[in-house]
Amino acid sequence: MTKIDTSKLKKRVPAKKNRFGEPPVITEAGENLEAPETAPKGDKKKARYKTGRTAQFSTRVTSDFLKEFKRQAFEDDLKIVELLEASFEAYKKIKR
Amino acid sequence: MGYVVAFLSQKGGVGKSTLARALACEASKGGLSVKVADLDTQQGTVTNWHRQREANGFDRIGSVETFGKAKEALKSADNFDMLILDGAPRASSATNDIAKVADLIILPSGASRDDLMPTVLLAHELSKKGVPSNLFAIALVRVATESEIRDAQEYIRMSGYQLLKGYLPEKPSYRQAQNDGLAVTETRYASINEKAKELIQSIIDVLTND
Repeated sequence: MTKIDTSKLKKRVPAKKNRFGEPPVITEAGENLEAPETAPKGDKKKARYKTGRTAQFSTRVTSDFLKEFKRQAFEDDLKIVELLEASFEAYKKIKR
Repeated sequence: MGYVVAFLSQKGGVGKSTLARALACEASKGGLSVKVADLDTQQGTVTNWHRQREANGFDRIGSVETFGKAKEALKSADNFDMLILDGAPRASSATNDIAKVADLIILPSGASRDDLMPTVLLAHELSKKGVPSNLFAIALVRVATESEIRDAQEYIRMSGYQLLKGYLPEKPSYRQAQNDGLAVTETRYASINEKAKELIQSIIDVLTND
């Protein structure tokens, strides 16, 4: 019986895996080159003073008045201070 | 305008300052007037190192200055044979400003996925911005074993970007030299100085299209 000689046949060499994996493709590149050179400074302080309402205003009122006033502000989607300012404008008109 | 060579990355600790210092030293020794712009105002690595160098009485490497803005640093390019920019450890619009005028951008990378991936991503970004790929090259730094080097080289080749010939091995003597104000080409050991010199030489070769 003829013995088949397979010694010349080469075995596949398994592809060696790179320990670092595959490099990222260009579509994975971010937008870092658009970022500012230095971190932008916060503008919080400016926002706080934007309205010009910087003075403290404090007074005592009855709890019923406070409740009603707050409810009105809430219903009309106003800040307490906005309702106060509107009230004062109305007062000035009546007084004239 | 003299040569403008920038060492950039989008992460810290990859070897920007190490290579910038070595190039500055070797160019200085070659008789060029050199200015190193340290753009990392938070660390001021090269600035501190240069102070140490002077305190220990080693040769000056020209002028070292810290700049908060890359554009400011680039203004001095006219007054020196070589302006070396040691970038801040992040990518930003400044990277772009530098890329527009630099003769060569070196992107150093360690042999880890953590270093290689951001390096290739930054190269992609530069490429997308229209920076020709012969204007930047990746340098392998802080590598240890032969097989690690092979894999890292293959990884960079797969990315399609230019890889500098040579590499900087991870050696405590490099750190010690830099602690004393010396460059990686100036350690006490001739054989590791040679390794560093090979890498610096390939920067010069790419810069002069050799």
